[in-house]
Amino acid sequence: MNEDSPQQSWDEMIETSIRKGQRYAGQGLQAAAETQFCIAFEVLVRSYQRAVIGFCCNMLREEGPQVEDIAQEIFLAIWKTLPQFRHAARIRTWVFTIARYHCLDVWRQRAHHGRAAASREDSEQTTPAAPPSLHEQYEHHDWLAWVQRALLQLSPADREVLVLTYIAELPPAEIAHVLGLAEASVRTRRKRALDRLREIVAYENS
Amino acid sequence: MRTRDWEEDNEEERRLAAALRQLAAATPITPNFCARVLAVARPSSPTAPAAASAATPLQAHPRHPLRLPYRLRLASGALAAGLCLSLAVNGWLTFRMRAIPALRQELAAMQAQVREAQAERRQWQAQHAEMAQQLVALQEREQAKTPPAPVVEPGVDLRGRPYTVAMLAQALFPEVPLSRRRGEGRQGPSAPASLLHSSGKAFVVLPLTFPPASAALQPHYSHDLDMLGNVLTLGRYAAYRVQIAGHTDSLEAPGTEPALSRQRAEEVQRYLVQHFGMAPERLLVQGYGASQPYATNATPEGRNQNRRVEIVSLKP
Repeated sequence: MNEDSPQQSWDEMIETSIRKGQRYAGQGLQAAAETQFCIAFEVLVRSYQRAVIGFCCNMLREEGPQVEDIAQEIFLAIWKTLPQFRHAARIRTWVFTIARYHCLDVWRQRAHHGRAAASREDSEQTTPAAPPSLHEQYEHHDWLAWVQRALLQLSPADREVLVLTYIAELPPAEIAHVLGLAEASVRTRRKRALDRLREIVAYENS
Repeated sequence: MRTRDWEEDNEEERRLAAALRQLAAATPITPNFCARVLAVARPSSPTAPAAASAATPLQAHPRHPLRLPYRLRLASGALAAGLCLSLAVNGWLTFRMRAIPALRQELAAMQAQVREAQAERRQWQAQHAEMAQQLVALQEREQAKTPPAPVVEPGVDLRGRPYTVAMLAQALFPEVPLSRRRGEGRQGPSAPASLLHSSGKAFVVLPLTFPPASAALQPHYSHDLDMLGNVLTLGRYAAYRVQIAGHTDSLEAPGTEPALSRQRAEEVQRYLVQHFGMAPERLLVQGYGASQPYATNATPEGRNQNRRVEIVSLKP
């Protein structure tokens, strides 16, 4: 796929820079290490910003500046732990693990603060700010909005699996690693989630 | 890779999947999101690498840019040490080896000395052998010049030693062979050689002991006198005459020694004539007194020995 190879090369570049930075830090060359980490972080931010913002948007029913604040917090957390990256998992998996934990934190905070805000958001039928190009395809814009609304009505577990599959674009093995499940259960969950989404969409359509 | 890891079962699922992907692609991002994030992140950059450096406090000092790996440094150090050691050993050995030619010369000189000494020794040995040979030759010549002196055995002195008739006969008449049948003189190992009398004749000292100033014969001397008589009366010695010589020591009878000695001889003659019926003409009697001492007269033992009777065989 065309998307795969550039993203893969960016991932490799990020990993190489992190490794170099860690080596320089081990040898005591602070400036060189900082430079390498900055390079890695910039490339990471540029390549993952869309995916992370989409992740937060669809997981948390947020949009607009709040989503971007949450995404910024995620990226700062990544920046803080960048030098200690152990290269045990891929960059993509690592990024979305951090993003998922951050979203869970936000959920817990929201659950703590009360149900009133959640119910208020549920009742709002928010539509994503569509890019100018989709205004032409009114049908399509409508369909996307329906799908998004249906997604937001799914349970958090199902939503997680679908978001990680289609927005974060992680393979089932990595999703299993992120969620802490077996790969087979990931596949069954995804199937169930798609079924439910289809039901909701069909129900809404009708 | 990612979009083909799973497959949607039916058309609806594929549409939903496509819709979700498009949602992801259509996510709105403010243009300066990235710049904002980087601007927020960069000022806190000292904390990120500082955490890494805090974890490794031992390497806080700046390292040399040209720093070889540990193993390479070890190997090069060992190589340098080995090189130094080998150079030192080489130098020491060369210094010591300078002495080798001098030592070789010394060795050669000492070997030459040894050879010279060995040649000298051989010379001396040859000389010694030569001189020994000369000595032996001289000795032989010396012996050949002078006839061997007659071995004087005290065995003819019959006093104090057992003897047989054959020994007595051999001593008295050595020129006569004992056994005519053999045809040669049977010289037994204990046959006494004849003493040469002052007159050059064979004689035997009889085993008779006399007290001082006495000529009496003891009765137990009859055995010896019988043996003497038997010898003298043998057929082969019939032609021989004997002289019975009596002697004294110098102190027993001063002034009458010849008479005393003659008495002793006459006693022996009387016994022989009486018991064996020998003709007195065959037995000559002579008294020498103290003129022929057998031993020294200074000691009593010598004087005992000097009081004796001898039988001297005369030519037929």
